[in-house]
Amino acid sequence: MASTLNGFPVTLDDVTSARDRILRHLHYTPVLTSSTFDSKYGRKFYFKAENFQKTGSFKSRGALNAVTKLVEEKQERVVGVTTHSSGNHGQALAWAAQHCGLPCNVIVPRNTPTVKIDAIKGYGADVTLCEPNPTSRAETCAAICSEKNYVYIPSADHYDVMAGQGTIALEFLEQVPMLDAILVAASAGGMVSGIACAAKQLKPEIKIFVVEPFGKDLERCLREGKRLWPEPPQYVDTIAEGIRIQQLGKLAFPIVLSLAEKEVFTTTNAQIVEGMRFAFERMKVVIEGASGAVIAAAMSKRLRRMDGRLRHVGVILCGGNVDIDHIPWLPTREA
Amino acid sequence: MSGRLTITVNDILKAKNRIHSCVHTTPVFTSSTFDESYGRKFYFKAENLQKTGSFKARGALNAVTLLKEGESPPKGVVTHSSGNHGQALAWAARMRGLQCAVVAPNNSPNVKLDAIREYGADIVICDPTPTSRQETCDRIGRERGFHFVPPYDHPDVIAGQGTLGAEFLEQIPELDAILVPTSGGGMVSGIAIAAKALKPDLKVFIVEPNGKDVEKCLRAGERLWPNPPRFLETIADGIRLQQLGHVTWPIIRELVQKDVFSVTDDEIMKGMRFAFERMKLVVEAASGAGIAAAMSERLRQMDAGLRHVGVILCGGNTDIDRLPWYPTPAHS
Repeated sequence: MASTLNGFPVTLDDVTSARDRILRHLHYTPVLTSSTFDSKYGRKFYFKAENFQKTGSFKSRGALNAVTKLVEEKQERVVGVTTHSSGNHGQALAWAAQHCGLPCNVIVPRNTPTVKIDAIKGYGADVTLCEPNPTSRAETCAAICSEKNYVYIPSADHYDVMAGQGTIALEFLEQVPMLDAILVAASAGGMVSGIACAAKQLKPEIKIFVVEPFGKDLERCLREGKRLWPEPPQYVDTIAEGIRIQQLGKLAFPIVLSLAEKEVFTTTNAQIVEGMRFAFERMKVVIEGASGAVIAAAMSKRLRRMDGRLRHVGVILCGGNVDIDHIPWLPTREA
Repeated sequence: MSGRLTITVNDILKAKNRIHSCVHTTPVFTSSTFDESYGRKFYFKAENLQKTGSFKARGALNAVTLLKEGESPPKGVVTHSSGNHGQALAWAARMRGLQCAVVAPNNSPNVKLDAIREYGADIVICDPTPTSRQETCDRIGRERGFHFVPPYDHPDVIAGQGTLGAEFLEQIPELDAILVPTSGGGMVSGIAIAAKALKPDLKVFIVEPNGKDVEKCLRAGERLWPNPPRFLETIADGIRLQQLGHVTWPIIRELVQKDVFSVTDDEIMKGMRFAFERMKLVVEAASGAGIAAAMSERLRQMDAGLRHVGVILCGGNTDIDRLPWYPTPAHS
C-alpha cells in the first residue's frame, strides 16, 4: 500500500550536504548536445553524461554519500559494507568503500559475466556468489551482514543513496537552468527519487518523467496510486540489464508517485538498441542499455505529441558499462 | 606551386577567430587508471566529439571561410576523400553557403558516402587510384567552377588544424608533449606551429602505423618513400597514407620530434578498446593509435620530465557495425 508523501523525504539540504561530501571525489559530468537530434525531434535536448562518471555510472554518487555519511556517524564501529548487485551498484560500492578505507563484500549472482566480477574485484572488494534470483541475493547478503558485521547499503531504497543521486539534479540545473523536463530511467527508483526531490525543490514546475523497460507497468501503478506488481519480486525481460528490477523500492514508490509525471515512457529492446546506436554513432559516446532507453524515450512519438512548451528536455545518460564484446547489435564473439 | 609557404601562429589565431563560433571547443578527458598504469599524467583531447566527428572540420571550415571571403569566391569546393575530410568539407561548405562535390573511389563504404550526402554534398565516383581521384577532381573543378580544397597540403587547412594545438595549450598549459596520429601531416604541422610559438619546449611527436617509416625519413632529412604514393596496410583507415604531404614535410622536418611512435594493428585495437571500455568514448582506429603510443614501451622509457602528455583522439567516425575486435560485422 502506497503511503502519501509528507514533505520531501530527501531535502535540498540532504542533497547539498551530499554534494559537499562527494563532489571532489567524483566528476562534475558534462552535458552533451546534438543539433542533429534537436532538428529531428523538435525540441532542445541536453544529455547529462553520467557514463563518464567514476565507475562508469551515476551509482558512485549514492554509494559514496551513503558510505561517507555512515563513517561520519558511526566511525570505528563500521567494520565493512556489503550489498547484492552484479552491476553498477556493486562496482560503485566497492569503489566507495575503497575510497573510505573500508572492507567491502559484494554478493553477485553466479551467472554474472566475468568482466563485471573483475571490475568489482578491481576496486578491492570481495565477491561472494549466490543463486540468480532476488531471494538468494537478499539471503546471502543478510548472512554476510551477520557473519562479518558489515552494514548493508542497498542500491536504491535508502535516503542517503537517493540524496547522492540527487546531486545529478543540482549539477544539471546549474548547467541548464532552463530545463523544462528531465527523462530518467528507473529500476528500483533510487535515481529518479533523488533527482525528483532535488529538482522539484529547486524548480517546482519542472517535470520528471520516468523511462522504463517494457513489462514494468509503472504507469498503471502511478495512475492507480498502488503497488500492483506481483510477488515475489521479479526481473523484467530487457536487454537493459541496469533496469531489470520490476518493482520500485518501498521508499522510492511514494516519492515517484508524488513527484513524477504519470506518463511513463515504455521502451522495447529494439528501441533501446536504436537509442544506443544514436549515442555511439552520432554522439560518439559509449552508453549502456538503460541510457539507450532514455534516448529512445526522447525519440518517441509519445514525447513528440507532448506539450510544445517542454522546450528544453534533459536526458540522463545513466551509465556506460556495456560489455564491448557483447554490444547488442553485433554478433557475439566466441571467446 | 613554388615559393616557401610560411604558416605562422598568427594564421592559427586568425583561424581560431574565424571558426570559433561553428566548431566545438572539445573537452579534455583524463583517466586515473591510465595514469597509474603508464606512469605519467595523460590528457586526451576529444576531437571525436568535434563537428562531423573529427578534427578535420577545423581545417575545412577555415579554408572554406577564406575562399568565401576572398576577392572572387568560387561557386563551390571539391575534394577527393570519402573519409573525414570529405565530410568536413561538405559540412563547411554548407555552413558558408557554397556547393560541394566529393570525389570518392567506387569501393567507398556506403556509410561514409551517406554521411557526406547528408551534409548536402554531391558524390562523384572515380576509379580507386590516386591518379583517377586527382583527375576527376580537376575535371569537376573546371566544369563546375569549384575550388579544390586538399585534405592537408594547404596552408589554410594546416592553420585550421593548428587551432587544435592552441586550444589544447589553453586548456592544459602544463603539457610537456603531444602525441599526434599522422597521415598527410596537416594536424601535426598545425599543432607544431602553434606549439613553437606558444610553448617552445613542448615536444610534438608523430604516431604512425607500422610501415610509414617517418623516423627514417626525419633522421635522414629526406623523403625516402617510394613513388607512386601508396596506402599502408592498417586497420586505421584515417591514417593510411604512407607519405607525408609536400607542404607539411618541411614543417614537420623542422618542428616535430625525430622519435616516431610506430604502432601495430593489435596495439591500435587495444588503444581503441581502452577508449570504449574505460573512457566510454567511441573513437576510430587512428585515435586508438594515439592511445597505443601512450601505452607503449617506447614512451615508458622516455624522459620522465615529460610529465604531462597530451594525446589527440582525432576522430570517432568508425563503423559501429564493423568494430575491429568482432570477427564478423552486423547484418553480414
